[in-house]
This record gives sequence, C-alpha cells and structure tokens, in this order.
Amino acid sequence: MNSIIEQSIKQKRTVLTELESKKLIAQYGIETTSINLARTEAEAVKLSDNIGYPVVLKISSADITHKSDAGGVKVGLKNAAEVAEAYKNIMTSCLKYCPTAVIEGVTVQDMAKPALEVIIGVTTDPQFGPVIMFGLGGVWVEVLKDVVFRLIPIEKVDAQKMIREIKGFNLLKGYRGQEPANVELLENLLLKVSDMIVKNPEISEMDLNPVFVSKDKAIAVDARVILFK
Amino acid sequence: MNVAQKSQDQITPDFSTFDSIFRPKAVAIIGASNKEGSFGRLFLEGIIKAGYSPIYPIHLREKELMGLKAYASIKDVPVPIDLALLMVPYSEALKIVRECVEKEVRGVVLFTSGFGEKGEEGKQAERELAKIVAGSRTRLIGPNCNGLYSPAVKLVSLPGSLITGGVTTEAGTLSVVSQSGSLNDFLVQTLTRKNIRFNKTVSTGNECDLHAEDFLEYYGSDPNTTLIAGYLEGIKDGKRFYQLAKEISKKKPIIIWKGGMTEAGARSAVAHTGALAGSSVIWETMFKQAGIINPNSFEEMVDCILAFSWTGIPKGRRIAILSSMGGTNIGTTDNCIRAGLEMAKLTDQTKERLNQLLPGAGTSASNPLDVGVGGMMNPKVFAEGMKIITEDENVDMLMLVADPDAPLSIPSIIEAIPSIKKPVTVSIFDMLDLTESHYRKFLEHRIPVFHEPKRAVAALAKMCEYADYLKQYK
Repeated sequence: MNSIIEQSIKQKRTVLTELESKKLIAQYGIETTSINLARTEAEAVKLSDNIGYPVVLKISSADITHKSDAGGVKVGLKNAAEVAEAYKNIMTSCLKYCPTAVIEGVTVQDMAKPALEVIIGVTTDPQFGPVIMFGLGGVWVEVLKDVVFRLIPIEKVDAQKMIREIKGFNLLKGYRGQEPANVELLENLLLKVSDMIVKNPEISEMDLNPVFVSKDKAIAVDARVILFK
Repeated sequence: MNVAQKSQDQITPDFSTFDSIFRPKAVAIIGASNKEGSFGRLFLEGIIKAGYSPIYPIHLREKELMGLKAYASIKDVPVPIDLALLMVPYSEALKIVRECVEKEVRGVVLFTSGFGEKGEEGKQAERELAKIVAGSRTRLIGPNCNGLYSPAVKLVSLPGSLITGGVTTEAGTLSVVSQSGSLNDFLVQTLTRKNIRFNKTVSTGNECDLHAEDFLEYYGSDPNTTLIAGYLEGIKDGKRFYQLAKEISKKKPIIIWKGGMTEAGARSAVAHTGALAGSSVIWETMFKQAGIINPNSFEEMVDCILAFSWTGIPKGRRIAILSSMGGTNIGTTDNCIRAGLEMAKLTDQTKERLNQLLPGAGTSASNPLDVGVGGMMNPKVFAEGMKIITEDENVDMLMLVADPDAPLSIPSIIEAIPSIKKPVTVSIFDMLDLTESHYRKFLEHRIPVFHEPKRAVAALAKMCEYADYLKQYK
C-alpha cells in the first residue's frame, strides 16, 4: 500500500490533505504546483522567498476541507510583508471557522500561470466500480456540467475520445486567438489518473480541480483524494 | 487487484451446462396438465406440437398426459433429465427444485412468480433456492421467468409464442437474453414474422442463480451465435458484464435495450425484477466503452437487429439517399446529419452516369438524389440508380426511399440489392394495405426495410458507432 494512504488509514482519516493528495499524485507523474509546508510565519516567508513571488498560501489541516470557506486561501501575494500578513489572517479565520481544527500550518505554492481550467475526477459507481470524469473546470463544471465519463481502467483511445466528446472541446483547440491547450498532455494525464486508481484501490473519489492546461503544461492546481471508509 | 483480475477470478465457465439447457437430451415438464386453459396444458401441448422429444410430464395423479406416460415425481423418471420446466405453485417450488437437484437435472427453469419481486419473504425464498443448487450439478433459471427457445432442437417454451403460434423451429444466428419474460416472447414473435431466425433465447427472471452475464458469456463463445440482443434492467455483477461485453463485441455485435435509464423508470425496475438499476450516465458510458449498441425502444431494437443481421458494417459515415420524393429527401438529409452521418459527395463520373439514366430530369444529379417521376414510369430506374451510386468510392452506404406509387420497381430493386457490396436499407412510408405486401417482399429477401426513413437512419448510425468501436482495436 502507498505510504501516504497507509498513514491516513492508520490515523482513521478518509480525506487526504491537499499536501498529501498532491504528493500522492506526483508519485504517479502528475504535475502539480509546488508544494511546501510552512509551520510558522517565518517559514512561510522563507519558502516564499525561495519559490519567488507571487505565491499562494493555503491552510493545511485535515479538519478543514473547504479551505476557501474557512478563509484559508490567499492568492497573489507579492512580497514578504504580504505573506506574513496573510499567514496571520489565515490562522485567525480558520480557528474561528473551526476552533477544534488541528492545524499543520500553511502550504506555500507558486501561482500557476492562468490558463484554461479543466477538471479531472474519479468516483466509484456501485455497479461498475471506479469511473473517471473529464470536463471543463472552474465555474463551468457547475454551470454547464460539460463532463464525460469512462470506466477505469481506460485506454489511450478512451482518453482521446473523452477530451473530444465535451461540448467545450473548441475552447481547448484555441478560441478567438487564445493559445490552444496541449491535448496530448491531457490524454496522458487521464491515463496517469486511471493507472493510479488501478494501483490504489483504497481511493474512492478524487478531484483535480482545477487543472490548468496550456500549450506546454497540464498542471493540477488543487487536488483532493478521498479513501473508502 | 485491478478490475480485470478480479473479474477473471470470478469467471468459472462451464459451458456444458448451458449446452444441456439449450440442447437437452430429455425434458421434464413439472406441473404439466390436461386441464383446458391451464399453463400446464398450454406448455405441454405447445412443446409437443413444436416437435421436441422426448418429453417427460410430471403429475402427481395422472398416469398419462396428452398421450405421454406421466410420472408422479421427477425422481421416478427412468432416464437422466437435462432440462426441467417448472410450472408449480410458489409453495411447492423449493421442494421440487430440491428433487431436481437430487435427480441431477442440469438446468431448471422456474417459471413461478411471487418471489423477490413481491417482497422480503420472496427474497429469502430466492436465497434458499440459490443455496439448494449451490455446488450441485443443477443450475437454475428464474424464478419469475418466461422460459427459453431453442429452435435447433425444436424446443419452444415461451407462452405468448405458443398461444399465437407461427414460431418456427428453423434456427438462425441471433441469440437473446432478456430480464423481461414478455419482451423475450415479443421479440421472438415480432422478429420471426419479420423473417429473422433465432439460435437461442432465454428470459432470466429474478436471476437467483444464473444471471444475464452468464448467458452473455455463453453466447459470446457460442459458434452458432453471430449476433446477441438483450433487454436489461440491472446487473448483479456490473464489472464482469462490462469485461465480457468489451471482449465479445470485438467479435460479434451486442444490442442491448436497457430499461430504467430515468429515475421513474428505475423505480419501476426495482419493483419489476428486484434488481437495482444503475445511474443512466454510467450505463451509457459502459455501453459506449464496451462497444454495445444501445437502442432505446423496442422498435429501435428490432430495427437494429434487422440492419445488423442483413447488411454489412459501413466502412465510413458517408451516406447517399435515393428516392422519388424531393421534399422528404431534404428532411431525411437533416435526420442523417443530426445522427452524425455525412452526405456523400458524388464523383463527376457518377453524376454523369446518373444524368444518362435520368434524361430530362432538368437538373444535374446530386445527393440526395430525386429520380422524380422517372421511377414511376421506368421500373429499372431505382435498381440502376442504386448500382451506380454504390459504385461511387465516396459512398459508404445507401438509403433507398422506395416509392409506394411505383410497385413495378420493387422486384427489380429486390433483385439488385444482393449484388451490392455496401450496406443498403429500404424505407417505404406506411400506407397500410397499399404497402403491407412490399414490406413482406423485402423481409422475405432479407433486406432491412423500415416504415420511415428516420428509422433507417437511426439503425445505420448505430452501425457506424459499432464500426468506430471495431476500428479502435484494429
């Protein structure tokens, strides 16, 4: 069993933190934004200096899964002073949101260059087992529900068809002078997710939302992995 | 353990049991009766009449039924029994299935209803039944099912087909598995009249032992079956069904109508066979990924079976339309485009040949092709036009909308179609008595014919989807 999953099961947790989720998917070759944990304000500033501005700070706590709702996400931080300020604000509002939360610290992440947002998800169907989903991400997934599914495991031809089946495929091809997204990287990403689920049957659900896709990158900006109870 | 490994572990095919079920050396009818109007009488009389032999009727008191020696218990029958058909009261069912197990009957078909579909007590009785046959030489079909049909051995045990008659014992290559008994029966009655011949059909009822996926697997490996059709409401082992279908559909098409694809439909499915219906989007995904052709009505299912049985798979999506009706050609073109087909662009050479065939048509020939009154006046125009169009390299398939006003053209059309190497379907607008005999003629000659061009379009589009599936694995 994968050690990240094993540790979570030992601690009787079914929801992996963003940090754990990203470390896990990185092991299967899925590119993510840089992930570093800072346990103190000073560490947060030091990590931000190393990564280079602007940066994102996100709360890291197994007890807080809806990080934005808790006031646990600050983006576009341009310098050390803003990082220090953001760290304090995150701690205050998260403890107000959930006073009993065990807080590990904050994750410091680079700001992914804005690009087209897609979602890749996994869910478990009671009849057919794990299923992979692909669609337009960000706000579009909720409004348009422009998503397609396949049973896992998928083959390359499935990945190719999934991407082309969504109504918004023209957006990926480059719309009104926008740079086209790298469809082949997306295909590989779908195959990597399928492979990861096959190798880790403990996973019941997963969201990579959003994944930023551009000409040369397909990068998971947020990740959430959920295990079977 | 991944899905594939898990599924393979669960598969323990023992096809000899299925061979015994569909080609039994001896059949016992338990609950056979002399009483006019009873099911026991209907089955016994019908099965005898269809021609199956030897039959061993079982009746507690009677010594002879319809001229056959009757036995008080299946255990008294002096020869081994491969298949037992049970039309017995609910209260007797468990006891009699036990006797069948002791007799080492290979297959038991339990028609009796009132089990899991009724409630918890019935479900418990089904679990008992499963326990009784577990580990024995006996496998159980049902309960709450409607029997099977195996023309190769002249065995017909579908009540509707026995009542309406006309079911043939001529065997074909279509095999059916249905979770609805009446649908199995309807398919046999409908398609037999449309000149389709079956290899095997079975209705699986509540599936307390043998499941739809078991029959799918058997048909998949059965050399006499080239086309599989089914009606499903829910599957007990979805992963296994998917894995089997994905492999089988690489060799032979599988056409499945799934009931319970909407929430209201799903609720009545639970009440109907006691199976859980899955969420529709995942089912649709599964069908697509496994290469299963998925019609959504009885009519569309029948249409697909005609098309898949009698024409080849189109090489591409380029269709040509030939008719004498300019107006409906335009509407039908819309339907082709909506269904994902493409209008073939005829070559100049084809156009030239068509212009020669249709002097005075006024405009240059194009697709869709309207032969105008030429078709009424010259009975050869349709047949010649079909040949010319299908010889065009840009055409993958042809849809002929035949003219009910031009009955003289029909014999030459029927004569021309077998020599055409590309898929051809025929549509004739339904004009009751005027067109009835035309349909029959096309069906007699194994040419897929439809009452409405849109239905031909739908069937051809399904064939194109299947062609795409096959291409993935080339």
